[in-house]
Amino acid sequence: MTLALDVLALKVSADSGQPLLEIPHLALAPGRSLGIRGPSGAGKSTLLYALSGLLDRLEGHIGWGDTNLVELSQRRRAAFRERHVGMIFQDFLLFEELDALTNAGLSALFRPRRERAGIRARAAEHLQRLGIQDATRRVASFSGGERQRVAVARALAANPDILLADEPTASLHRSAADALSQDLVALARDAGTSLIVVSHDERLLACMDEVLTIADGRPADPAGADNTDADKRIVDHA
Amino acid sequence: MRDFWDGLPIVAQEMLLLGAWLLPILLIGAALLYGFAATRLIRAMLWRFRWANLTFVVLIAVAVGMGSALIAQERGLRQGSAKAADKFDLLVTPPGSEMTMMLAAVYLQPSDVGLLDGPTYQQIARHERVEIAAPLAFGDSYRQSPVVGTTAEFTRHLTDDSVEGRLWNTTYEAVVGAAAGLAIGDTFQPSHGVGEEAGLEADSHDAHFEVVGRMPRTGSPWDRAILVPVEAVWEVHGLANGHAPERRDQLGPPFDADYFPGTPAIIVKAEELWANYALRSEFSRNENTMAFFPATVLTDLYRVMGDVRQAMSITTLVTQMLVAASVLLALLILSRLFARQMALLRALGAPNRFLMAVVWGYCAVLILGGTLLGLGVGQGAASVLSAVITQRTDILVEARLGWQEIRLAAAFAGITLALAMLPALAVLRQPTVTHLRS
Repeated sequence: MTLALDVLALKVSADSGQPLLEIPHLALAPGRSLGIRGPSGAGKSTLLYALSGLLDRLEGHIGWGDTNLVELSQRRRAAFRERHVGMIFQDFLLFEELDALTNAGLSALFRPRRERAGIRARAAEHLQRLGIQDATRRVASFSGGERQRVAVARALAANPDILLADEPTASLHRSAADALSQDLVALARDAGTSLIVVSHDERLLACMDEVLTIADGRPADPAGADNTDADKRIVDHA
Repeated sequence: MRDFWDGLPIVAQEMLLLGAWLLPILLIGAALLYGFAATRLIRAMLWRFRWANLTFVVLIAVAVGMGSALIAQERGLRQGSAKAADKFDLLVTPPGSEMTMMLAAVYLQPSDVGLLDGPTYQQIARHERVEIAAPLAFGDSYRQSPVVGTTAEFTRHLTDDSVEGRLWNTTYEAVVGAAAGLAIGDTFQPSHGVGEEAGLEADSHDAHFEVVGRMPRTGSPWDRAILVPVEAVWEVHGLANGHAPERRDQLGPPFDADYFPGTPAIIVKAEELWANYALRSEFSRNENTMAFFPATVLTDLYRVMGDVRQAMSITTLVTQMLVAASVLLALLILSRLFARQMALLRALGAPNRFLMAVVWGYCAVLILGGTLLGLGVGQGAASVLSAVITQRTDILVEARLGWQEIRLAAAFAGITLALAMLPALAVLRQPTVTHLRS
């Protein structure tokens, strides 16, 4: 199953009530990739976490297929993430004491017993494809690039429809970042997964089907937003 | 229902009580952990904070261990002291404090006590229901062993007629306790006085005794004692030896009232158990005597100790709960350290129950590990305390952890594990995105 994204009149506020982000309209077809860029503090990550259903103060509409996350309780949003969303973070967020395979198959620990073997098998498969040879090694002994690959394998192991990545290459050196960017995009494309990436990394953004620029909590001017790749389509945010 | 309960074997009752304490834990654990494979994450968290975790476990173990050791010790001391008094059915002494007389006669603690005269002894010894009426004579010692004058028949009664070697045939022969430090064939010269006041060379009596018999271990202060004919003690103090001159070589009863120097206590054994009550009643009416069962005095003492025990149990539980509260508070603080991992799990869509299962399971391992280790610590501490008390009092104290201590530990674990829901719930209140971005 693939899910199209349809955001309408999204407003995200801080606990104090102060507005953090306003997105009038954002759409992404199933299986496409979207890069989100902008200066620090512009609201890129806030948008990403809103799209994952992790934020509380939401107004408007965040539609993934027929599901409007804004209307769901925290419990049902968690269930949605469990079934449909994989996430990747800047500093990997791995369990250092566990081996690569257990980290990559982390979601098997709380998924129904019948699904566990499949998740672990996919985790092993993705690790291998991402070049992690010894999946039984504790991740504490891995390099930054290897750790992020384990995190990518973890995000993909549960076969999600949506992959959300927050600065996935920011902690990596250039060559590792380039290799990971290519692998990430290729894996998502092969699996038919919608990929949304927040990044300052122009080379990673260049791999995306579409790019959205955020500034001051709003989509920036379309003409100035996509200046990295003239062929790239600017997403509709008007 | 009450009849059904009373009809159950003790072990079954204890198991059910234990189950009642542990059942809530099992239910909470099952409700949280069912359907998840949280063990690996719990192990990872235990390893990550291993030194802090070890400290928690040791703290809990010490709290549980000291509490259970103290309670087991009190019980062991009670059982040991009761066993030590087992052979002393009825004591007849001059009027005074039953406790003082019992400590002197049964536990061989030096005391200044009055004496019963010859006619009184005769009246007791000739009573139709009295099987043994053994006078005791104290006051001398050899090294750290009190020398006790008594009769051969009481020695037989005390040892169930199982003296190694033989009983005395002449005045200056002795039978030693198992821990007296003398062997058959040794000779010794007793000194006047017992304990710290004894041992001065100048106080040594001229008499030389030969050890002819050795008692088996009784687990009482009598293990350190040296038993000699009561006539010998009287003689070395320059007193009449209890027999008329024409029978001066006689050992043991009957004694002549006119030549009876006096005794601080007579140990009486009746032919039948019930007769002891009649004898006690009879000798208590006499204004010159006081008759009592050491077991009754001990029971009164235990009743007082029982209140102390109850207070001790409550104090122990409260202490343990304070330790548990401290540990849980520390766990609440520690849970902030793995807040990022919990936030990650939430981001991956882990249900709240899984997060609670991980945190509660982590706490459960620490608490149950500490409690089980505490029982081991308790047994070890009880053994050491028992050895010290046995060495100091000569009362064989064998303190082993029993159902009471296990129940106490189960109560501690049950309550603490229920409270461990608090850090588990606290994790759910942590802001996910803040921790993901921190």
